[in-house]
Amino acid sequence: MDLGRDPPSSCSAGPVGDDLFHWQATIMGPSDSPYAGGVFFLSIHFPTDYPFKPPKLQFTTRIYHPNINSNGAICLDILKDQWSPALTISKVLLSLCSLLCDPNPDDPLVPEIAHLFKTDRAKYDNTAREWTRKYGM
Amino acid sequence: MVQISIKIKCSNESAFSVSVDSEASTLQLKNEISKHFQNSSPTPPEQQRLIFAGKVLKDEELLSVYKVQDGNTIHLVRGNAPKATAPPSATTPTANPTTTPNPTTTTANPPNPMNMFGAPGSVPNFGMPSGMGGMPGGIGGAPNMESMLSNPMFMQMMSQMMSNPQMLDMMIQSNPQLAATITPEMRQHMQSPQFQQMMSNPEILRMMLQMQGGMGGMGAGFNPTNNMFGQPPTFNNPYASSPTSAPQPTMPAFNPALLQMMMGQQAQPTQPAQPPEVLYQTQLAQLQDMGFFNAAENIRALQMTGGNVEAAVEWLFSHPPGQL
Repeated sequence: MDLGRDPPSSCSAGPVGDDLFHWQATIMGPSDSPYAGGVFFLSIHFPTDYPFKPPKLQFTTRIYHPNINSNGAICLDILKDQWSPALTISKVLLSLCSLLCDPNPDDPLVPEIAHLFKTDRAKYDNTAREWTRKYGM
Repeated sequence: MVQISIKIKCSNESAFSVSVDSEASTLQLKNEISKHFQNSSPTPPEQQRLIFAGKVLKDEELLSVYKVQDGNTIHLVRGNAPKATAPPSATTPTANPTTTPNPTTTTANPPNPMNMFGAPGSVPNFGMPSGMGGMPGGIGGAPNMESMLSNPMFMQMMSQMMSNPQMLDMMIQSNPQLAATITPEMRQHMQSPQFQQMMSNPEILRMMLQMQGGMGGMGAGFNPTNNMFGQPPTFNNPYASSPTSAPQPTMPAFNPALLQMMMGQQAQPTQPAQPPEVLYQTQLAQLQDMGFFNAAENIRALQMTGGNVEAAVEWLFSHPPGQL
């Protein structure tokens, strides 16, 4: 994994300071999603038993998404029970990108947003775009 | 002067390389990028956002500060001309490394708790006579509570509520039972940072709930000498984990029963303080019939399990007398 030389096209990550267990990352809103044009920041904490335990990721930029709540907590299986030591941070970030494109409203963290996503997709898209403009640009 | 080559990746997957001085600033790099774009789509520096290793590069900083090296890739996000006040989260990602579970510190601009439910219809319920009990499902049983505790939104609401004296007053006034229980000193204590920290820590709340469960069946109330929890230190944990240990006289404020009342739940009818032999008379007889003849152990087991015979038997089997 060399995030500096050949990072995935839509995300980047690096240590915050000298503490290698605390990183920060950015995800560029995927162009085919209402988050396009936004830049979303995350903080990453590696547990001391990483990679046997998943890293703790949290959005520090607010984002309107059924699986991400107002504290930035993320509901993603690979960050919980589906974690594998073979996963790298760039793979995790790429998974997050695809989560932005394809929310999972059936396992929501914010039921209200999930409901809107299912019932009124246009309104959801609009709100997500608005939040992206407000917080991610 | 060493020239370094930096790969610039745009959000539309296109990439190109620019070379700048190794001592160049971000702004100088942006000027180089502008030159690259001048024929296709003009992108002045103020419309460029450069991202490297999870950080947005600030114009005035040197690339070396961000440890950008030859051959590294920097992401370019094109945006509109920045507004006068950029969103705090975008400008100070490094200044905000807090990831403590305390929600109030993580959110740059804490949202109004009322807004969090989206539907305005749910607001009138909030903090009304039934207190938190007015929320869907109430906070009746521990399982409900469990799920609420794991809901960060609830935790945030809780901590905001605790830090808002008016909200607290409203809650207290709206519930006569609460008003009678909460003395001004307690109220003051509830607004102390320690208490708020405690209330915003799901682990501690959970622990308190468990303690409450343990106490439920004990008419005599909490008796620390009883070694009710098997391991007394667990009871001390909530205080041990707060940065400054709470002075003893304030302990009543942490009384789980009070917590329960604060949650707006109807207070349990206080059981008359009977000796356990009387309280658990029938259960004791049952245990006797089952062949457990050690009365002291039986009482102990029943106390541990709140009078549940099956659980008491299990406890007796797992804790043979003399091993404790």
